[in-house]
Amino acid sequence: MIRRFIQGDEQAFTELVRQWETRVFNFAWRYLGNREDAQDVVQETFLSVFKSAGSLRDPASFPTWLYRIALNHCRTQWRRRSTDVSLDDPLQYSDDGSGDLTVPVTAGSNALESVETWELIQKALLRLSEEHRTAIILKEYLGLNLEEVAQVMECPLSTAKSRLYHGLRGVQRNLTKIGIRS
Amino acid sequence: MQCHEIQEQFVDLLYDEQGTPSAGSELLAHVSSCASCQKELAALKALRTTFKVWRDEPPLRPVTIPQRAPVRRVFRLPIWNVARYAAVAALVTLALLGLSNAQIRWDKSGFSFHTSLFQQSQPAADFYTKDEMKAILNRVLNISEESNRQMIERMMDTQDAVRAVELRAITHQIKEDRIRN
Repeated sequence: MIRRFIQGDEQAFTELVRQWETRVFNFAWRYLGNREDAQDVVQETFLSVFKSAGSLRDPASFPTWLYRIALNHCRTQWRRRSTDVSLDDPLQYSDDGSGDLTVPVTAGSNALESVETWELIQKALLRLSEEHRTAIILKEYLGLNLEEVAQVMECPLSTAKSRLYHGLRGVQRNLTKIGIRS
Repeated sequence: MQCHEIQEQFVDLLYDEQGTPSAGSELLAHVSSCASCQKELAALKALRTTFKVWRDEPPLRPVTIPQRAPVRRVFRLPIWNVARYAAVAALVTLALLGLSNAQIRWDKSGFSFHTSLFQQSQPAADFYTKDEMKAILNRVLNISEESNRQMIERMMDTQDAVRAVELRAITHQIKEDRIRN
């Protein structure tokens, strides 16, 4: 199917879109924290894919090629709304003026019971730097291997590993701030 | 090696993948003997299990599939468009003919078309040669001479006839005068 798409088969392109749009949407949503922005990224990503089909030489590298395009659109979208850190569900800033994000959790209750874990993880993720967040999403959500993570991020393997490690530490730290983990 | 230095390599322990360098013996030896690093590694492994709660959600809308621009067909163009293109084509053709020193000729040997893009055109081979021109002139002169001769002869014949009539009239007059005298 990818080979047919490279050769300009529009039906193959439609099939590819249907096969990959959910993955790209969820990748962008995790990166941006906003569904509408993620939807825009999905549309722009597949438009770019459609226009630059000729630049894909090896059909086997289609996933990393696709994610690289999606990542570039995510970065552009992130820069556009860099001053707006609000998510689909509004967060509150701590009262001490530190700027740390906190999640409204009622005292004495189990946080995991009151707020879904995956939402908290996403909020913790969005507090990371762009590079650390990207590494975590590519590895833990998309399940790419370390080589592929490095390819999508266009960096050496050692750099990808370092970003992944610091990303994990960052999520751990942010979850602690939120009050989920000790 | 310090703990914070060795922990940078925890990714090799967390993701033991084929094709990437596996955890070094120094790292393994340190972790097995360091409670702090063991705790840190266990925390990261637990964190990784938390990511499994991520679930896919369908996109808000299906992606709009872009369509390739349809191929424009000449026969579907409006007539004024065809006329415009024809006019442009004619102008371009004329310009090219001018640039290429085109010569279009219709002579005794028929229609001919010559171009000379980089050099002056040579005299066409269908001009009359000098000998041909001489023969033509001779022929014209001969025709003219014959015509003149015939005309002169006719004039002389006419003159002779007139003179003969006049001579007969004069002779007749002389005879009458003699008789009268």
